[in-house]
Amino acid sequence: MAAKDFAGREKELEMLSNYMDDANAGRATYVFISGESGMGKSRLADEFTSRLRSSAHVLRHRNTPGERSVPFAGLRELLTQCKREKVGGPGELVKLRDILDAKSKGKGDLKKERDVLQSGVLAFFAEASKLKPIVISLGEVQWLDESSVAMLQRMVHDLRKSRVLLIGTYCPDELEDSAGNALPFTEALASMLVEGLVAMMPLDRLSEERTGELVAQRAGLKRPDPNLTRLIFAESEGLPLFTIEIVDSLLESGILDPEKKGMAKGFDASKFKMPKGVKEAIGERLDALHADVREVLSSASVLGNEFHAKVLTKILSAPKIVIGSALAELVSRKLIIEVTGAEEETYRFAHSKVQQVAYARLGKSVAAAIHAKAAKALLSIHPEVPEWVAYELVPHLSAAGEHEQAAKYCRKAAAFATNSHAIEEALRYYKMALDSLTKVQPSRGRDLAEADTLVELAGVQYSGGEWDAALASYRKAFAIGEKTVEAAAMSKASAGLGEVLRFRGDYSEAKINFRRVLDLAIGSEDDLALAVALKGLGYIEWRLGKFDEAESHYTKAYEIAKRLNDSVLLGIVTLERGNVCTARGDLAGAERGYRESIAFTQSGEDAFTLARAYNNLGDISLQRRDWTSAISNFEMCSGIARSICNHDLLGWSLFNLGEALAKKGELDKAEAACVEALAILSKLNDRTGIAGIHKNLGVVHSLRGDWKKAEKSFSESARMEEEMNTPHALAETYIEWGEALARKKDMTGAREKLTHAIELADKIDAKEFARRAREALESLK
Amino acid sequence: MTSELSRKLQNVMSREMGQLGKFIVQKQCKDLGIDSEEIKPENLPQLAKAFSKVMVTFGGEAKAQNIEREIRKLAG
Repeated sequence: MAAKDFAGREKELEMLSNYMDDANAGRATYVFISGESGMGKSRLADEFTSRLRSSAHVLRHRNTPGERSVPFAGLRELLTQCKREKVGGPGELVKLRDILDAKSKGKGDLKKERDVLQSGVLAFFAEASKLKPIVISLGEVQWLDESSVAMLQRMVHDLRKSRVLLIGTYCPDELEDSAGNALPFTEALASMLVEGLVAMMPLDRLSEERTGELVAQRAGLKRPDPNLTRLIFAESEGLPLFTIEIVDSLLESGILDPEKKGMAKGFDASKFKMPKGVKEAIGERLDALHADVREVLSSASVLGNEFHAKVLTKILSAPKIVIGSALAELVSRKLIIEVTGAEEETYRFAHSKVQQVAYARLGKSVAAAIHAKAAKALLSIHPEVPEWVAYELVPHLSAAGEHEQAAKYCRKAAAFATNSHAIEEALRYYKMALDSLTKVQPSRGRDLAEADTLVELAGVQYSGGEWDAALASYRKAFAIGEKTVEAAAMSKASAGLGEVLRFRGDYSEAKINFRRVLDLAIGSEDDLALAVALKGLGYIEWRLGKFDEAESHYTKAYEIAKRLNDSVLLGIVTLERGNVCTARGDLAGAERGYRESIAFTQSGEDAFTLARAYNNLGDISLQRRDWTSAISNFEMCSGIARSICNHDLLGWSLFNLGEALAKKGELDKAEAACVEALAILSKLNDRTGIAGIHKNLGVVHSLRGDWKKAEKSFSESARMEEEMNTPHALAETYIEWGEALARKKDMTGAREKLTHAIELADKIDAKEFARRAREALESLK
Repeated sequence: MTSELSRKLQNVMSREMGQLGKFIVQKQCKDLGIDSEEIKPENLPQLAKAFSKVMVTFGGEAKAQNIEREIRKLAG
């Protein structure tokens, strides 16, 4: 039996059924229902999904405007439903738990980490839908946060052959922000539509006949009453929500009497004043409420479309029992709905329009006061400020005009967002924090908070690959530090500048900044900053080939880090000191450094450095021709790199692993490692790595006796290295190529390649390569 | 400043799709290498065809054909 507020959408239900058939056949379908507010979009989606019963897993989430600022709000909810309802087999559920628990490990590239996470979600849906089709009902998709939109777009592009049906609903006049800019979902929808990847279902208003059916259902009449229908249709013009509001209003005022199958006796239609719109109709219903009940609803409207009874009770001064009975009355009047399955007592407005009308009637100053109470209530219930509370506090504090506090919780929200791989949201929260600070009375404390926010913002910009923006933020922070003569602010900003600049290869500018950190740290006796500066300077001197200076900086940094008992810093310093030894040809010293680094980092605090240490240790083993040890070290590195989603490091460790395996004669494994590395480094367009992999593949093919393939791989490697003008790498390729030709007994070819390698090595004074090439050439005789 | 033709095209698409229309024009023009603020009469046939494809998804074949015709005639 149809529900009491649904009629006239048979054609649309049939279309959705057809889309379900497509999904069942393994053709994932993404359909978006659009229509003005009150058109019955969500109601249609709910009706369709409720008719599916157990033939599919149905996941539901209705977004709210507030969720635009909550990273992955909808996705998290959907995945939690999957976990609760055991969607997929045991294997998928384990993967799901990993996805839900995933947090940024730092030190890696945030965007790459997110990419891996998204792939995990898609793989989950693809696998789980094999067991049973999955229907995702997403209401009000225009309010999706930026990270969820990116996820949705990826899903639409990549998840095509799965038993998934996604039904999204959106309001076509809510696709822009107040400045007329597209919301994140708008741009994504435009793009998906142009690419022909999604289906659209615009809803029309109901005809008079269908309106009559809806009126009869809602009023509990056996059949539509033509006079009543005409009266209502003339005002509602076929808008379902308006129709329902008018019927409810007529029922509540006793004008409409289902017992008597129609209008109450003596009703004069000409004297009856119909509401002029949905807002007025809702307003009339709110006016009819008792003042206490109306106050509960008004306060609830400040909490958003969905609210917790516990928070509401804290805001209101009325006794619990009064609030409880008010909520019960609001439910019975169909103004709010109790959310089933929620962990704590939760309610949702029956329609977003009800919440909007209730909120609009409050007036700005009353709303601001309730927002302030809401923030206070949230903080008293959740003093530890978990992630969702931080996100909720921001709009309350902003609306309450408590800008200093708003900035504080914006920064907290940004940190949570960063941790959840929601880079865009993190950046937005930091910018909101800065904006809030502009509204705070000027003071030294305000300036320092701004400098700290800028440093944190720069850190996210840097991890997200926005290096220019990071430099600009660090520079602004430094300028504030200079203005306020605050050494700590200047030091943090300079350390950040040094870090970005050194990765850019701008060593002279980086050095200036690290020197500044050093001077400031000495002046303020800040040991940690001193160690960071020395470490940065050590790296630059190593890169510039000034090994004595590098070693001296690292040794000092090591002593300070040891005194501070900072294992993360110790791990990095010992690893980089090992690099200096490697560059000097001191393999024993290098090994000592890398092993020390492993000892400091293996507790897991800095997985990135741990992975690097294993990789560099593997390199030492390669140079010593200890293939077994090299393989074990590279495997350790690739395992860690995979777990922290650092693709660059993973690609390089697999590339190195391929070389070690090839040298040991494990050719199939070597080829597999090289192929995976090639895929990863090609995606990153790391040409140095790609050329090296071709060289390794040349070795693998030649050891197999597949000369044609070997020739092709070596040629490709040499071509790229010539193009990049990297004589060091090219010399190595010619050595391997020459040795391969020698195995083929092509002595002329081998002689030619090895001679070329010697010429190259001599030219750049690469003694080790020159020696190896000469030895190989000698052995030909 | 938006050209007269760009404005007319945006009006047609907004009438059919609401706020989304404006962004569809921007996206489609970008893909076709056309400046959405400076649409020229010679761009219309290509754009009419492209928008007609989008409209099929939105309002069916007949509506799509009408839109295609309407856009082709926009230059006057």
